[in-house]
Amino acid sequence: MNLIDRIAHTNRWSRRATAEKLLVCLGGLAVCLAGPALTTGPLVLLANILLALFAARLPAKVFFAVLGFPIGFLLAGAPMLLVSVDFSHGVALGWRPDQFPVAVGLIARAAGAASCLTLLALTTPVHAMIPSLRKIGVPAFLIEIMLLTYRLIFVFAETVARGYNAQTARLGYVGWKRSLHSLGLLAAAFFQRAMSRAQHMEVGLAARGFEGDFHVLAEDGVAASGARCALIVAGLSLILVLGFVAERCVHV
Amino acid sequence: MHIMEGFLPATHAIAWTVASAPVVAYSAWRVKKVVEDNPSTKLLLASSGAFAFVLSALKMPSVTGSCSHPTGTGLGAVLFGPWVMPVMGAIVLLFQALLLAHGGITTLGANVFSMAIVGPFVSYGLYRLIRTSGGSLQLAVFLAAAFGDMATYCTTSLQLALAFPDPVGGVVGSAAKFLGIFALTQVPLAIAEGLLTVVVMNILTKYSAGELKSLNVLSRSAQA
Repeated sequence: MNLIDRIAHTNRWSRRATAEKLLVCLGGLAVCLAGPALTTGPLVLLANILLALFAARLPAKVFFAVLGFPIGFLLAGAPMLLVSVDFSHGVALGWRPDQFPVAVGLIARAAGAASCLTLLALTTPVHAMIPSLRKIGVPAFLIEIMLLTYRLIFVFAETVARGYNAQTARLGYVGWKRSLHSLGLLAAAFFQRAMSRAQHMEVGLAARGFEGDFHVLAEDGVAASGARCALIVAGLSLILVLGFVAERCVHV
Repeated sequence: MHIMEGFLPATHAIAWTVASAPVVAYSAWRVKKVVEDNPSTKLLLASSGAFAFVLSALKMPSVTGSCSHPTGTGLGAVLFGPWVMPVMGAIVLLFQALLLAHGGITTLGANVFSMAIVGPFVSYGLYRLIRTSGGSLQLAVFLAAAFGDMATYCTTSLQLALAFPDPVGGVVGSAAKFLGIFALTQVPLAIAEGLLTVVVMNILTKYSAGELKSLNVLSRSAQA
C-alpha cells in the first residue's frame, strides 16, 4: 500500500491533470467492457503497459508485480468455466471445451481492465482523485470523510505494523490459536487507539472553533488540456475500432 | 471476496451498481443526518473507515494453512449498526481498489452489494435475533461474524453464477460450482473470523466500555 502510494506521488505523471489520467483509465475500462472481450482486452493491456513504462516511467518491477496479482488470480480461476455441473440427473461433472472462448474472453477482458486500474492506482494519488467525485454528485460531507479516512489510513497502518512487529518479536504468532489471540488483541487495542484518536481530533478542532466544515486549500491542480483530452478520446476510439476489426478477422 | 476488475461483463457490472446505489444513497442520507446533528461524528466515521481498511489488510491465520484477510463486516455491523455500513463499506472498497489495486471500479457495485449490504445486514439480523432471544454476547458475535462472511461468500458465488451460467446446469449448476470451490477457503475463514471477532469483542467490552458508549450516536446496538 505504501509502495503504491509512494509511486503514485513520484512518477512522471503525478503532476499531470487528474482529469486526463481518469479519462485514460476509466475510458480504458469502458472500452474493455464495451468492445469484444477477446481482442479489445489485450489491446488495452498493451496500451497501458506502453503508457506505464514509457510515458509515466513507472518502475517495471512494481507495475508488473501489482498487475500480476489479479492476473495470477484470473489464470487460476478462469479455467473453472471449463467444468460444468449439472443437477438434472443427480450430480454430473463435465468437461466443456466449447466454453474455451468464454474463458479466454474473460481472461482477455479482465486483464485489460486490471491494467487500467493498476495504471490509475500507480499514477494518481488518491487525494487528487477524491475531489473529482464531487463532480459526479457525491455530497461534500462524504468527500470530507473520505479525505480524513485517507489521511488516517497511513497513521493507523504504522501503528498496526509496529504492534504486529512487537507481537511477532514476542512469539505472538507462533501457532494458530496464539495467532488468533494476538490478532484479536491487536485489533482491539487498535480500535481503542482509533477511537481515542477521533476524540483527540474532536477536542482539537472544537478548541479551534470547528463548526462542521473543513476548509482546505485546493492544491493548484494542472488544468486538463483540451487537445490532450481529444487525443486520449481518439486513442480510446481507435482501440475500440481496432478491437471490432480484429474480432472480425478472428472469426473469418 | 472481492470480484476483480473487469471480471463481470458490462451488463452485470451496471446492474449490480444500480442495485447497490439506492442502498448506499439511503445510507449516506442517514449518515448525513447524524453528521448534521453532531459534526464531530465525521471524525469518528473517518476513524472507523480507516480502522476497517487497515484491519482488512491484516493477515488472518486460517485452517487451510493459507493466510487470508478478515473482512470486519460482522464487527462493523455489530459496532456501528447496519445502516452505516453500505456507505462506509463503499468508501473502504473504493480505497482498496485505488490503494491496493484490490477489487475494482467496474465491480465496485457488485462488491458493495455482497460485502457492504448483504454481509452486514445478515450479521446484524443474527446478532439482534440471538441477543433478543437471550443468547450470550459471545455466541451472538461469533454467529454474526461467521454468517456475515458466509452470506457474503454465497452472494459473490451467485453473482459469478449469474454472470457465467453453466452450459448444462445453468445458473444453479454454476452457483454450485462456485460455492464448492470457495467453500474450501471460505468456510474455515468464516469460522476464523467469527472466533477473532469474539476475541476482539471480549476485550472491547472489558476495557473499552467508554468507547462503545460513544458509538451510540451511530447505533444503539453497541450496548453490550
